[in-house]
Amino acid sequence: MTAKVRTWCWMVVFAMFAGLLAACGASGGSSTAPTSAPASGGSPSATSAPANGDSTASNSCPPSAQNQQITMWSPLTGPDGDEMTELANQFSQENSMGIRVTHTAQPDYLQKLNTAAVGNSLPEMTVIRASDIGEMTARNVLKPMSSEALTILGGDALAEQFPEAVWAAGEYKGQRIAIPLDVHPIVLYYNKDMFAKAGITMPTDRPMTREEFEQAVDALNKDGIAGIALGTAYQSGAFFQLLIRQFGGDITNAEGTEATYNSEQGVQALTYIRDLKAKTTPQVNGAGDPEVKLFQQQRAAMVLHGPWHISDMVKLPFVGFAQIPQIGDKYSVWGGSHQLALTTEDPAKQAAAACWINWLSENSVQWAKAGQVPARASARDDSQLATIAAPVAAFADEAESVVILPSVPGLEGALAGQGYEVAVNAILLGQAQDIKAALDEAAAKSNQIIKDNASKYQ
Amino acid sequence: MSQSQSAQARSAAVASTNKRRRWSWAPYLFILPHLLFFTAFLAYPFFYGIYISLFNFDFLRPEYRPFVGLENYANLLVNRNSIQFTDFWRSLGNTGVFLLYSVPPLVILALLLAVLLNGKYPGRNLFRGLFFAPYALSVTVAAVLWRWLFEQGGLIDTWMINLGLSSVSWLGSQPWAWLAITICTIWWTIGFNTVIFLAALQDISESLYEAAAIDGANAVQQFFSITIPLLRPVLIFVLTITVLASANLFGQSHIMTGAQSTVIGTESIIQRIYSEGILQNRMGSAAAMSILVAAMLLIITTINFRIFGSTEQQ
Repeated sequence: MTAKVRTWCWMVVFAMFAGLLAACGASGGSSTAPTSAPASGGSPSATSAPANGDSTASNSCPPSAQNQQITMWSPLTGPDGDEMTELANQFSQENSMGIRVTHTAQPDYLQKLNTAAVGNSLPEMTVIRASDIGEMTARNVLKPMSSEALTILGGDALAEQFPEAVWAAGEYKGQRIAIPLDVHPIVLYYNKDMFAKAGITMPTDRPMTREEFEQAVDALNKDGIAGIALGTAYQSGAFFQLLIRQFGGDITNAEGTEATYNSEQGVQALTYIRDLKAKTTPQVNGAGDPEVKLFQQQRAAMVLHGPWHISDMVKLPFVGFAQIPQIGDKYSVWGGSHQLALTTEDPAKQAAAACWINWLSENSVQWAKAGQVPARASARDDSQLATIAAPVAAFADEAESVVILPSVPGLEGALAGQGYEVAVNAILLGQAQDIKAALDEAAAKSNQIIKDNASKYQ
Repeated sequence: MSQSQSAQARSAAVASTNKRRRWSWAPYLFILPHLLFFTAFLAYPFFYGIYISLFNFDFLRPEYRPFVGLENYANLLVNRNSIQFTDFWRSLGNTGVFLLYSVPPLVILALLLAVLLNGKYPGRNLFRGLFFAPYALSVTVAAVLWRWLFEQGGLIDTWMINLGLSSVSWLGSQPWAWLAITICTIWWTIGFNTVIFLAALQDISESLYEAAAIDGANAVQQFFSITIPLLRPVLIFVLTITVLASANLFGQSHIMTGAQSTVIGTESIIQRIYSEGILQNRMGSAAAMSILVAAMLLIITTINFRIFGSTEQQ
């Protein structure tokens, strides 16, 4: 080996090593488990209403919960997460049992929970999406609530506070796993200025009818403005799911054992979406919600999307909030639900967590500030709702029409991610033309996966 | 004894001593730190991966781990109706397409850039830094940046509309999606290949070019007769690492095309493995996919070396 070759050998090795360090440093920087992260900002929230459930919580809270430290993870990485942190801090300051609650929002929270479960470093509890409850319980991450915890939460009377579907979603194989926190239904955002200029009024106490909706789209869909911005990804999947139910079908049967979205109603729903999109925004697609950006840039008059955009939307003076239209014969709304579940089996920690959940649930009208509709009936009926979160009050009635999938492990992935979302994307992106064939192919795949999951999780 | 005889005797004595004491701890101690990391992060996961691939495996469910033998492999290679078959081969095809689109520019353009940067002119160090700078970014930063440029409502889309052109669905249709992903990848990683070529170019003696110029060769002839042959080992090396890096495409297509990647054909094999193992909790099947992909890359690399010759200097 000559000295020349040796030299460039070393240079290359050094360059690769440096590159490797840069890559590893950049990608592996956030993998530490923040199990004891200190509460961010210890000052009590100055703007929230006084906690009126505090005294009852401390009465029913057992002595074993004294001075417990509770860490709660969640997928709330947006501004709604900051609201949750404020509520956790408020409870920590005000409760008389010395319980301290720390809220940590986790990007990719399911993966974080998986990793923590393997490394035995799970937090005490987590905010969980309803569709993940079955899977995470079957995989031993979520633990059933003890009877003591359930008593603290109000026992059997608690069920009446929540819409049936939302309450049932927190159960797995007959055991209570989670308490509902909120329902986040899909919302209709509309441009008030454009509506006013075209002379269209948005009804405030009921959803738009099909005629009203289609007339509005046609009236506004001109001069470079789209009547409604329709994208792909999350939005088209949610729209398909709610539309198939509005037309009288469903994406699965009641037990969650079969995919039913390739029915006549499914074809009807997907045809409607495809035609509407071709008329309004044929080119808008992809991740990152470009349809929302289009609406915010005032290039579209309406957009259907999740309520997690509310904290950005309230900053724009032209944005109005409404219930999504009723296009079919039934009224149905896509919605998810955040629920509160325990990841610890320690009875004292479960009791303390239950005290916190009880307080949070009774004060969940405060949670509306984050743009979520509180699941608890007493919170939704609370007269403060309109003052705390006027946008949420505009569509809170939708919560009753939300359909939540049964708690079958892996069901949403099998039906949506690996199933109809592929077909919907293929049709809307022009990669496939035959709607019935695309839905049939996707449904066959969904059924295969459902069967595989059933044998795995029996 | 004469001087040379005693010298010979001494060297013979030293030689026999050296033969007895030739084995020492030093080399092994030098490689021990790397060996530890290698074992922990490469060797052990590799063999554990082979072990996992023989089971219906979920790392959070020790109570349910049935042995399935080669069923995971059969689902990928033989059972056309399995859950995994179509998606696995389609993602492999997509990755192959990306290899064809990205490797030639990443090698040829990098070489041309290196030749340009090898000259002596003011500002050349600045340019060298500028071309290498994107490589310091993580893949997420690079991909999000280009997604913001290419998406609907993004910068390129807005410019096109302001210029009166109709909107193009850069990230939602072919061939634009591959074009966008390839541009992102080239911008991000070409600096690395360029630096390697630059280092090798600077080893080529100026006198060779001068001699060729005296003989009447022009720049192009000099390039093909002197530069390329002397760079051959480096070319093979850069080609190999570029092929391997492109085969491991994940970040760019995942972030720029996301869930649509399945439908528009930009889903890479690593995305498919991620979906299978992490999102759908079928870790045994995902491990089998990884082993198969590793075997394929090994074959490709071997073919690479055979076709383009060995790395020894001519």
